[in-house]
Amino acid sequence: MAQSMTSRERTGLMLAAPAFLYMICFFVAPTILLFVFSFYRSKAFVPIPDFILDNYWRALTSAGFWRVVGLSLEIGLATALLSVLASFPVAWYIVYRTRNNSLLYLIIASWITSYLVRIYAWRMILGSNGFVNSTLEQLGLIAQPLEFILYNPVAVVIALVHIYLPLTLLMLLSALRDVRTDYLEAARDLGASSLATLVKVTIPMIHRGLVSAFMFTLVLASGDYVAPQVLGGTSSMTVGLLISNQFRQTGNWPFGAAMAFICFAVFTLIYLAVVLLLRALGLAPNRRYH
Amino acid sequence: MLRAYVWLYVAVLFGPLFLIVLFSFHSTPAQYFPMQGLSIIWYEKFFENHVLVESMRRSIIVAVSSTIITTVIGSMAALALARLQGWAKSAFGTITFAPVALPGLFIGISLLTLFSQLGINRSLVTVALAHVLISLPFFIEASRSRLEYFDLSLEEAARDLGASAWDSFRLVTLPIIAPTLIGAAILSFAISFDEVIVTIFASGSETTLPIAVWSMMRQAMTPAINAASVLALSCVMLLIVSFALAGWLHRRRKLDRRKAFNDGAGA
Amino acid sequence: MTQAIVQLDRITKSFGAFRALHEINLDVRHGEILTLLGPSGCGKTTLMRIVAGFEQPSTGRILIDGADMVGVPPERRPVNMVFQRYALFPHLDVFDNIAFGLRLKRLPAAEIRTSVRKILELVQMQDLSDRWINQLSGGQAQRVALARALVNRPAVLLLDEPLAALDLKIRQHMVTELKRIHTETGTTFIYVTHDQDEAMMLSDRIVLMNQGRIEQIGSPESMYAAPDSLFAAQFLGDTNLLPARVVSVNGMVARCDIGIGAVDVPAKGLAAGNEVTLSVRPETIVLSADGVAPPGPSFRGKVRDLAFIGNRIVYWVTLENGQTLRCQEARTVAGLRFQAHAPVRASWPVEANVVLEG
Repeated sequence: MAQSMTSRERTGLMLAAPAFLYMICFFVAPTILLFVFSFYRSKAFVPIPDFILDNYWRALTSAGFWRVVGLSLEIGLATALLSVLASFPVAWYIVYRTRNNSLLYLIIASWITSYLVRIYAWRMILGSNGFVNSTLEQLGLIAQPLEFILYNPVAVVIALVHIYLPLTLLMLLSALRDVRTDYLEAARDLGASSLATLVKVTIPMIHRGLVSAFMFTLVLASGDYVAPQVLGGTSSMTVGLLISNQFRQTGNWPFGAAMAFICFAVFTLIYLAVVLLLRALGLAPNRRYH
Repeated sequence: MLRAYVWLYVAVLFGPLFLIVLFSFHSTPAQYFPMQGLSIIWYEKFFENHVLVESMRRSIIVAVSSTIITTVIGSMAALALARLQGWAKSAFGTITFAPVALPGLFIGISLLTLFSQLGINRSLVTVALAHVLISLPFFIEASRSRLEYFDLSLEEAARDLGASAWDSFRLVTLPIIAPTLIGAAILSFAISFDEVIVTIFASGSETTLPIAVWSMMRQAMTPAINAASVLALSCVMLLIVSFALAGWLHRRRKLDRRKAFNDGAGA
Repeated sequence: MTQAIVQLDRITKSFGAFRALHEINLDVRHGEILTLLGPSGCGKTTLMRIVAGFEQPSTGRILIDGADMVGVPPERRPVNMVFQRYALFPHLDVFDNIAFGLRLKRLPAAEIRTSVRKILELVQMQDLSDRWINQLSGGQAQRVALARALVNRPAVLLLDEPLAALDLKIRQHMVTELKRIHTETGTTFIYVTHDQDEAMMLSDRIVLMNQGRIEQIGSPESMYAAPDSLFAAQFLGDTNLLPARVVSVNGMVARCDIGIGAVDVPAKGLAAGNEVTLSVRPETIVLSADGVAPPGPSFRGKVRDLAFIGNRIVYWVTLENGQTLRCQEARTVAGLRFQAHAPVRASWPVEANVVLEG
C-alpha cells in the first residue's frame, strides 16, 4: 500500500548500516582483493601486481592439484551425505515427536562446544594407544595396534561428521518446521504410504533446506584443514591444507588465491549438479512455488 | 526404534566429549581404559604453563570484546531486518549471512591479504575483528526470527502512554528482546572462544587458547590438552549458567517485590 | 454550543500515490461515543492513527481540546489508545502494565497504587493485578488494555477494533461493559470498527467512511432509517434495492414505476422522469397469502427460499418480473407462515421507501 519509504523503513536502513559496512569492509572488500591477488605474480614470495592467468593455468593443469581436489571432495561428499542421512531421522523426531525443546538445546549445546576438542577426541579414540586399539588388544582380538584406523581419510571423515552433525541437524530442523503435520496427514488421507509421503511430499517441500544442509556441510568439510593435519596423515593432503600452505609456508599467495577461487567454482558446479539431480529424481519441484 | 536411534545420536555427539573430560582427571598420561586413578595433576600442569594461561587470558579478552561489538552491530542488524522490506531486506539478509557459507580458510586468507595490503600488524585486534565477522551471521540468524516476530505495536503503545522513542526502546523493546540477545551473545562468545581456522590467519605472535592447544596437539598427545579443552568448555558453560542464574534471580526478585507490595497495600 | 474536543480540519493523507484520506472534516463532541465505521481500507484506522499521532496528515489541521496537534508526537498528546491486539507488554504484569503511563509521569508510588486500584475496580479486574499477560483470557486482556489507557485520564480514548479478536458471546458482553465504563468515566470515545452491529449498539454517532471519504454522519437510528447513499443503505443492515422511475409528483407523494407496478414514495426533491433507486428494508415488507389482497399496492411472487434464524424468519420472494425481495419477519408462536414455493403477496408502507440517487 505504502509506496514511498515509511519512517519504519528509514529506521531499518539506519540500523542496518553498521553491519552492512562491516560486511563490506571485512568480507566483500577482502574477497575482491583476494580475487585481484589471484592474477598477481609472485616473485621471491612477494606478490607483484600484474594481470596474468598463470596461477590458474598452473593449478588447472596440475594432476597433483586435481588429485588433492578429488580427495577433498570425496571427504566432503562422504561427510555431507553421512551427516544428512544421520541427522534427518533426528530432525524428524524433534519436529514431529517431541513436545519440548530440551533435546534441541542439548544438540545446540554440543554444537557450540569446541571444534578442536572433537578432533582431538577422535585422535584419542582412534590412535595407536587409543580406545579402539587398547580395547581390541585387551579382548585379545589383535596383538599389534591397528595403525590403519588413524592417519587416513576415513578417520578425517569420522571426525568431520561428528563436528558437522549438529549444524546439519539445525538446518534440516528449520526446513522441516515448515512442513506442517496437516500436509503429511493430507497425503496419508489421500492414500500415500509413509514412504510415499516422505518422497512425494516431505522431501520436495524441504528440498531447499536439504540442499543447503548438504552443501554447507560439503563446503565446510572439503575446505577443512585442521582435521586432515591431525587425523589424515601424509596420505590425506586436502585442498584446504594445500591453499593454507601457500599462505603460511611457501608463500605464493597469488597461487593460493587462484586455487581458492577454482575451489569456489567447483563448489558452485557441485551445487548446480545437486539441484539438477534432485530435480531429475523428482525430489525437487521444477518450478518455484513460493 | 526411532527413539533409540535419537538417543544413540546424542550419545555419539557427547561420547567423545565425555571421554575428554574423564581422562583430563586421569592420574597417568595413558588415555585408555582401565583408568589407573583420578587426579587433578593435568589441571595443575595447565596452570603452571605460562603460555597456556596467558593464551586463555587473551582468548577471554578477544571473546569478550568481539562479543560486545557483535552484540551491538548484530542487534541493530536484527532490528533492521524486522523493519526492512522487499529487496533491501533480502539483499541485507544475504550479505550478512554469506560468510557462513564459505569455509573459514577462505575468510582467513582474504582477511590476511587485506591486513597485509593495508599494512595492519596482526594482533589481538585483528583476531577480534575476524571473530566479529564470523560470529555476526550466527548472531543475526539466532535473533532475527524472534525480533521479526516482535510486535511493533508494543512500541506504539508505549509512545501512546507517554514514553519518548528512547524510553519506549529502553522500557519495552529491550526488556522483551533481551533474553534473545543474551542467548545470541553467548553463542557469539562460544564461537569466538573456540575459533581456530580463521584465527590462524588473523593472529600475530600473540596466540589464543585454541591456537596454543592446536600447536600442542601437533607435538604430542598429553592429557594436558584434555585439561585445556575442559577449561575451555567450562568457560562457555559458566557463562551460560551464570546468565541463566541471573535471569532466574531477576524474575525472583521482581515477584518478591510485587508480593511485598501487595501485602503492604492490603494491610 | 460547547467546543468540540477533537476538530479535524480538511485532513488528507497520502502514501505515495495512494490517497488514504480526502479532505476529512469532523468534530468530535465532548463525552460522546463516536464510531468510525467502514470496510477495511476505507481510511478509518489511518484517521485514528492521525489523531493518536502515529501518522502525520499530509495536509490539514487537527485540534485536540483547542490545541493544534500537528507535529506533536504521540507521547505528548492527551489521548490514549486501546490497540487492536491490545499490545499489552508481555514482560510486565497487569499492575505494571497499567502503571506504565503513570510512572512515566513520575507520580508518587502511593498515588499510582490508588489510581491503578481504582481503575482495576472499574474494569472489574481487581483480583488479577499480579497476573502475567499470557495468563489472561481474551476478555481479561481487553479489560487490562482499557484500564491501561483510561488510568491516564485521556481527553479522548481511542479504540481500534478492540473487540475484533474476541468470541461472539464475549464481544456482546464487552459492548455493554464499554457502555457502562463510558457512562462511569464520561470520557470521549472514538471507536474504530468494521462491524455494523457493534457500531449501532455502542455509538452516539456513527461516521460512515468509504474509500477515504466520509459518506454520512448521524445517529445509528437515523442512519439506518435514512441512508444518504447506496453505500450507506447496503453497509448498515440488509436492504432491497429497486431501480425506479418517477412517473408523477403529487404534493407530498411521488409515484414511481418499479417495473412490475407502481409504489408511492415521499416526494421530497423529486421530479417526474427522475431515475432513482429505492431502498426497502426487509423487515418493512409484509407478506400475505396470495388470496388476501392487502391495502395499497402489492406484488405477487413465490417463496424461493427461507431461513429460520432463531427469533426471526427470512423469506426470499421471487416476484413475477424475476426480481427477488428479501423479506424478514419476527418469529411468532405461529412459526413458519409460508413454505417454499408458496405463492404470496408482498407489500410495504409508503414510508418504508427510501429514495436514493441514481
